[in-house]
Amino acid sequence: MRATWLVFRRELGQYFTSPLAYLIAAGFLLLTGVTFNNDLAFSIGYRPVEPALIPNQLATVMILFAPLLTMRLLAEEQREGTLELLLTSPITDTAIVLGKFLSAWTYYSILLALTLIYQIILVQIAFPDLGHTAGAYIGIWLYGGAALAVGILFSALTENQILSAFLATTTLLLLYFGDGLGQIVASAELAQIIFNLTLRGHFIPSFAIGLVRGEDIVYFAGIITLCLFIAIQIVNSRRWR
Amino acid sequence: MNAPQPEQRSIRITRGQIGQTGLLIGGTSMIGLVLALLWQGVSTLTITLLATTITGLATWALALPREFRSLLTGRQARQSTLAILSTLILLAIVVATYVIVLRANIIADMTVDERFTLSEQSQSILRAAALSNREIEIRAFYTPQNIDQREIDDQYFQLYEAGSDGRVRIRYVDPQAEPGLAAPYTDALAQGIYVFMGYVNDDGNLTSVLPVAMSGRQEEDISQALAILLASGQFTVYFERSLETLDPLNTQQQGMSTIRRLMEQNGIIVQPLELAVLATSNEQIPRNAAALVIARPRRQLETAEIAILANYLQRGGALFIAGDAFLSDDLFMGNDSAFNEFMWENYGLRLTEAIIVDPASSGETQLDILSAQVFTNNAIGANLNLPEQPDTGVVFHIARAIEVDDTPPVQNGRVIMSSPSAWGERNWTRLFQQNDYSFEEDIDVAGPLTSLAWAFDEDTGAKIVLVGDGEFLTNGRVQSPQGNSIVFMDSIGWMTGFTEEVRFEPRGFTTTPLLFVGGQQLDVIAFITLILMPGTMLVISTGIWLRRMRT
Repeated sequence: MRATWLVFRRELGQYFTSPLAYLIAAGFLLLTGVTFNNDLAFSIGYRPVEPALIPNQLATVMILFAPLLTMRLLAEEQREGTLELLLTSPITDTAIVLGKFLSAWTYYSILLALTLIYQIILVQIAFPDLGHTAGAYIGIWLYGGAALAVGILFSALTENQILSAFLATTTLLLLYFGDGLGQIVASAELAQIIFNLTLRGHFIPSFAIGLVRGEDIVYFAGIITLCLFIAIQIVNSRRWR
Repeated sequence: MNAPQPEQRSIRITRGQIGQTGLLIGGTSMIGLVLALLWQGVSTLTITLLATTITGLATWALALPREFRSLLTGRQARQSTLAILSTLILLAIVVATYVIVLRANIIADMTVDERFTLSEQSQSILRAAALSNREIEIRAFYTPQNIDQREIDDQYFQLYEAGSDGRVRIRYVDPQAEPGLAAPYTDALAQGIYVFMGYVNDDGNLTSVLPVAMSGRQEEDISQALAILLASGQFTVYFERSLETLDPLNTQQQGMSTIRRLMEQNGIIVQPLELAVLATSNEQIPRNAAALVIARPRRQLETAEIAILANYLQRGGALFIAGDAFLSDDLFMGNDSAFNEFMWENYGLRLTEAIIVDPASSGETQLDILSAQVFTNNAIGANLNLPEQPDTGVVFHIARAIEVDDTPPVQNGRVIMSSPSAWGERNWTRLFQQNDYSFEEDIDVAGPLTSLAWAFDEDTGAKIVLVGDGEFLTNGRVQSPQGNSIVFMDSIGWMTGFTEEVRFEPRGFTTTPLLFVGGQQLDVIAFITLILMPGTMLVISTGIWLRRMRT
């Protein structure tokens, strides 16, 4: 636990001392800000504000954003040879992967928390459904965790950051838009199974409309657990390969 | 001299290459095998892929036996096998947990208005359904292309299944995969209605099927349909057929089949009735008659027929009378007719021999009068002339004015009136033969005039709706505008008590007000969210970068 904490603190510190992390945050806030202002302008006197607007947008944005955040975490260590150093230290593989993942998730959570300013603004000028918004935020937080875990997995797989980001993006695209495959199959039951395997299938019909379902939480937690476990196995394999 | 022989280049295939190729084919086939098994179960394809997998892996094992042995016995093999096995076990645990939680159906409705929680009214309907001795099925049609909509609707369907102790069940049908099941619903599916509800027969088919138009307010749509289904069969409305009235079986323009279909879709039983036959055989109107409709009769009522109606009303019956204007000596509810007298004396309503002409509020001609004024404080007029919904107006074609007694023997009232500039044309001969009409102060009746009125006898429970036009009920006019069918269905609903039985008050939502924000406020918000926040991050980023450059 202490080792995990040490890795976590070191990685989080790197986020806050890296110009790239702030640049990503600026881009993130600009993107969500444009969406928010756009929706606001269209809503006036016409329709109620959309409570899950930002989480809905982030569901797509995370496909590109998560690999950007995670691509360097293990790939860079491998390329620079520092992973070997870490592996010879008394820190377990689990602590390394878990610490890095938690730091990325914390950084993402802070960015997500910054977008709550939009909700504060909305409370001042309208009567938004804060319960619905809270549900959507819980969903996108878990969704983000799952996307980051996929990113970590591919960062562990290769020492090339670009390749890692590319593979993670491709996988997330498949996981998100995979229900499109379900639309071209002949059976509705099969389409249903495919839909339930996708990230979309566990976000759009539930969190995005203000529902928190047990199975969706298990789905995202399951993806996080599985991806991190495989990443740990990959890091561990360097000891016996 | 012999010419030099070209060099003979032999192609050598090593055991290693054969083994690697076998491994590649075997591995690829194994992945295909898993996918094919998931896709279609055991089939020719899966058996072929299984054979290819075994052949490929066997080739590899035979060609490279040492590599194969090391997979099974080496340290690397042990470690990787352990990793794969532990990953598979973890995957199994995750899948098992997912299935358990999925079946437990744990849902938290976070919305402030509890949009995904059934209201007390819906729960009450479900309790009634649970007490029913018949199973109800919600049959919903979704293609693979609209699975996401199915997922959202399913949230509600599950609530109905759970709330009715399993009496209501959901069945999903893919119309492409089961065209036979979808065939009876083809027309409705083409109109975008994809959810139906009905009682389940012993053979699994549905009876009393109601279409459920899903409007996005799923609870309202499903509960309303369920209430109608539970009430179906309880109300029988008779249509008079012996007075040369409109025919509810006729599908032509002048028929009334659309009205009949609308009523049947609402679970109301429609039956024919002949007053003349009843009068001859000295019988009365059946006791199960929730209402009697007399649509556009072309002759006067005989004394015996009036007696039958009087008896029916005395028993608390309900009468919908749609009179009309004809150039005839035997005009239904003519000025001096016995039935007109009966209606006036007992209910304070009668038809006049004045055709409403409305220059200020009319359609194609001044004889196509619009519902200029509607009294909406009653069940009949409540859904007419709705703001910004012009289709909810009513149009009558050559309608007679109704006289309403202001000191009536029972409760009565007006529902639809013409504009004040309308008049009642008394010269029918000129109107029908020369299509000529104009206001003559001495002869005609000055507006505004009533075209639809009601009466209710509190002592007997008798209810009457009197309309000055019958043509508005015909197939050619009843749905254009929709107000024509609305006024009829709401009249039937009021008279039979059907409306009260299936009434479902939609919930009011508290979180749908509009935004109150001015241009200046918008500018401040845009400055904070588009410049200040991202700009701060950009400044910090530049600061760190510059500091790093210096060091």
